[in-house]
Order: sequence, then C-alpha cells, then structure tokens
Amino acid sequence: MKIILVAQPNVAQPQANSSFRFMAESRGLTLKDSFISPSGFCLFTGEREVQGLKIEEGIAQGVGITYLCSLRIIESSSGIIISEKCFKDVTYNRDKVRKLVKEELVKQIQSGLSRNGYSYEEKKIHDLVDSLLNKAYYQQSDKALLRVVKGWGLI
Amino acid sequence: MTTQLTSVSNILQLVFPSGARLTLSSDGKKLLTEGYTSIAGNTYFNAISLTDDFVVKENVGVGWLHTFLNGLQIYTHDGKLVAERDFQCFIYSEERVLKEVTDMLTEAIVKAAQRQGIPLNQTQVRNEVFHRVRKVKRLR
Repeated sequence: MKIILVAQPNVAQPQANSSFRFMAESRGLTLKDSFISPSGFCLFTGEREVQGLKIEEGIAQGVGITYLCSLRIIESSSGIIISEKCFKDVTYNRDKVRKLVKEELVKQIQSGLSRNGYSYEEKKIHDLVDSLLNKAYYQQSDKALLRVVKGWGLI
Repeated sequence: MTTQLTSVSNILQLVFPSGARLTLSSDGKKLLTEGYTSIAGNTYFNAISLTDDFVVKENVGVGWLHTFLNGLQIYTHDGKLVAERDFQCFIYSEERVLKEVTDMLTEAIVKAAQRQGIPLNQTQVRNEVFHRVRKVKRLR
C-alpha cells in the first residue's frame, strides 16, 4: 500500500497557540510545548519556577475533563532531572499536582540528606517545601482573589 | 451596554481563545459550547456563566438518563483560574452547581487570605459569595 503524506498549512495555528497559552497561563504555567491529538485532546507542557527548580507539568485538556499526564522536576542550573513521573487516568487539579510535587520533593530532599549523612528535622523540610510551593502555585490566583475581596470591602 | 458587551467578549476570548462556537441558553444566563458525543453516546459540553467578579465554566456530560456535572472551573475576569474541582456521578441541578461554586469560592478566598496572613471571617465571606454568585449576568 502506498501512503502519500500531504503537508497542509495549518491556518488555525495562531488561534490554537493563544488557546494553549491561556490554558497554561491561567494555571500559572509558562507554556513550553503543545500539540492537538487526533482524539481532540489539547496536550501541552507548562513550566513553573520554584527557587532553582523547574516543575514541568504535562497536561491533556479535553472538553469535559483535564488529565495530568506527567510531572518532571528539573534543577534549573544543571538541567538534571530530579524526578520524573507519568500518570494514567489522573484528573488535573492544581491542589492535587501541588500535593504530588510536595511528596516528591520532600522524598528527594530526605533521601539526599540521608545518603550524605546529614541529620534533618522533618517538619522543617515540610514547612520549607510548603512555603516554596505555595508561592509557585498560588501567588497569582491569591492576588487576583484578594483583589476581588478587597473590592467587596471585606479587607 | 456596550461596555458590558466588550467585557463579556474579552472574558470569553480568555476562556475560549480559539473562538469556539457558542449558543445562548434559553434563559439567557449561560453560553453553551458545541457538544461532543463520545462513542459511548454521551454528549459533553461547557456552559459559561458570568457574575460581576467571576467566570464560571461548567463541564457537563449528558448521558441517556441523567445529566452530570463533571467539573467546575472558576476564573476571575482577568483570566486567572482561582478554583477548580472534578466531580464523579454528580447529577446536575442548578442549585447544586451554585452551592458548589459558593463552597469552592469561599474555600479559595479563605485559603488565599490565610496564605497571605490576612484575617478573614469565613461566615462573612460565605454570605458575600452566596449572594454574589447568584447574581448571574443576563447575556441578552
């Protein structure tokens, strides 16, 4: 069977790009890469900075549902992948992703410290990771929400 | 009126930048996207409603017997996603959607204030949210 591939100019590309950018930016992510799957899902990778680390979230957004596909934690300066995970049937939710990132970061920090013979206080690690992730995940939406509440005269 | 239309169009451009085709619900309060019917025969679509401060996007699934609410996303007018939640087997009703939106927004506001170290009275926030989310803008 002979297969002929025909390249077609994608006239809808600029619109699709702005659509992907919105999907990423509304969640506080910087869009890295995007693709529309044959099934119609919008697949994209977004990145957020957490003090010397980059968190890369792979997301599949459909009409009725949004999935988290992958999660990668990378050291910004060296580009070394600290942690990488793929998911199946995990619906996307910012709080859920933040929880997964926290678990992974705490685990990595603890095992790193143990391997190198450092003693640590578990609560301190949790508090530190919490404060870093709160900033990375909620700073933008907190500002937007509190602006609204200020307009209501509650603060 | 013109200002209101411009604001609605800006918000929709943020939520649906790719220019989805939208229709108005019969009560004029919601914008509905085109449905997508799965192989299983369920139809999925989004419904958008606007209040003075927020844009509420509902993910709706219509099955052969029931209509389900699959997810809710709440945006501010400048396009920031402030709350989102998924649901499973949540049978759709307007009142239940409003209750969920109230709960989600109250929780989001209280948590945001906590993170920023701002004291807020949860009951006062809930009352304010309760009244404000029920003032949905008519789009015609």
